[in-house]
Amino acid sequence: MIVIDQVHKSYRTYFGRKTVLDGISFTLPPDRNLGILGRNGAGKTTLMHILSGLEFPDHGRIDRGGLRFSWPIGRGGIRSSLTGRDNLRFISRVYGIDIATVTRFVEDFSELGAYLDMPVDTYSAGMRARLAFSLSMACEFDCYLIDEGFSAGDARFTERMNALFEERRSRSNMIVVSHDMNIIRRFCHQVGVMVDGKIVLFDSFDEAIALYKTL
Amino acid sequence: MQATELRESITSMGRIVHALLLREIRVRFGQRRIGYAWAMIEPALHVGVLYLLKLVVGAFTPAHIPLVLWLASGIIPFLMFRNMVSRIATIAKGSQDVLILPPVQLSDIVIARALLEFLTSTLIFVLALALYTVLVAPLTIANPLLVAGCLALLALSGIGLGMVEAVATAFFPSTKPLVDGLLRVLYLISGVIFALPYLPPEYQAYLSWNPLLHLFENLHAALFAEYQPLAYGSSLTYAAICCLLLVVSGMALLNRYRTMVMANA
Repeated sequence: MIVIDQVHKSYRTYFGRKTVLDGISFTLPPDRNLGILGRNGAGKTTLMHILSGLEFPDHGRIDRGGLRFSWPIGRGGIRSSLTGRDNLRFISRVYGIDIATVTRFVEDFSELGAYLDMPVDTYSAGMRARLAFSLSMACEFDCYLIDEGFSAGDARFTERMNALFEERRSRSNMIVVSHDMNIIRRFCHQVGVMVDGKIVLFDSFDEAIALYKTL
Repeated sequence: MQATELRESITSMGRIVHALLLREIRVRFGQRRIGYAWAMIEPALHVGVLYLLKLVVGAFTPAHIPLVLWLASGIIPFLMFRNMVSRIATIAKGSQDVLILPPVQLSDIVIARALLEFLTSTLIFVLALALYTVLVAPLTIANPLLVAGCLALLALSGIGLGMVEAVATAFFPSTKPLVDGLLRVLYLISGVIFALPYLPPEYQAYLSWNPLLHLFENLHAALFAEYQPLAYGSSLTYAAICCLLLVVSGMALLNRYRTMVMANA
């Protein structure tokens, strides 16, 4: 069980202190996916950073239940001037995973072919997404944090991701930030809408959409 | 912290620094082979130009020490110092995509970058000395341990100054040309090329405030038994204290203003 309890985060800016997260609380069972909607600047990315451990809350509690969280996928982690394979090796080393295993998985799942040995600069947005997602799936995290970028892959890849997540349903779940409601509808069992640094949770997609549309 | 926990965090840090080091090599030398070549060509050019200058101007280094050796042994470590400062000062550049990975800390990047710079320069330094031994005359180093110590202190001072510059430029972008200018002046007044006894006597007392001078005077004395540095210009203790102050203040500043520095990419 993932428990987020009264998480607050504010930053100092030139215009004084800006509160980004103002008491975020939710619990997420390990077999359920959470989708997060919210307007630009609602604090979604900050929340993802805090969940991943990149940043710490000013106060509040985060209990990851011993699960291994991914980095916020879709927000970098891939260097464009290096080849796909160089990026793959780097991330494998950072997480201490066997490079050969990761390579086999990524070659097979990303279907990038010869592009794996080309600089990521030369990739299309969809190919980048395929590299990033394949790479993260190879790392076998318990909880995937996905910050946009999901819809960049083509239909075939989204389908494969979907199948893989279904297959891994019992051992990993995800928290997805996306403006693409189809993605959220497709993958998530629970939907949170972020407004002014707070989150409102819904078990029904339609109710969440109704609130989101009024923003 | 438990002993096992400590061991775990040290091995994980080692793993990440290793990963970053290999990646830095890829980024800096990978695509452009010229990267390696330039690391050697640049000091060679400096040595060449100053060699010519010596022929024109006359003595500014100890006469009984081979000029090429004197120049190379000062210039290569100085360029390491200069590159170290600029690599650490621009820590935000090219680090964003790495720092999105939660296991990677800013300190890991500082260590990896510094290590690469130090290893590259030390390799070139050793190569230059070896080349001289093979091509010209066998060389006996007076005090190898002191040579290593001076190089290490120089590297650490570079890291310290780089961290201070990283924070300073985040607040005042105009700091960068200031530091660049300072480095150019330091090149001339730190005993890199011109040994302290060969500088105008009326300025020697002022010049000896510069801690880098003490390092280079020690370095040259450690390499060449014939070179007798002036006592007040070659205090290793003074250089070490300044180095420590730089590193500690750099670490404290970078830790405190990390977000500002990273936003300055």
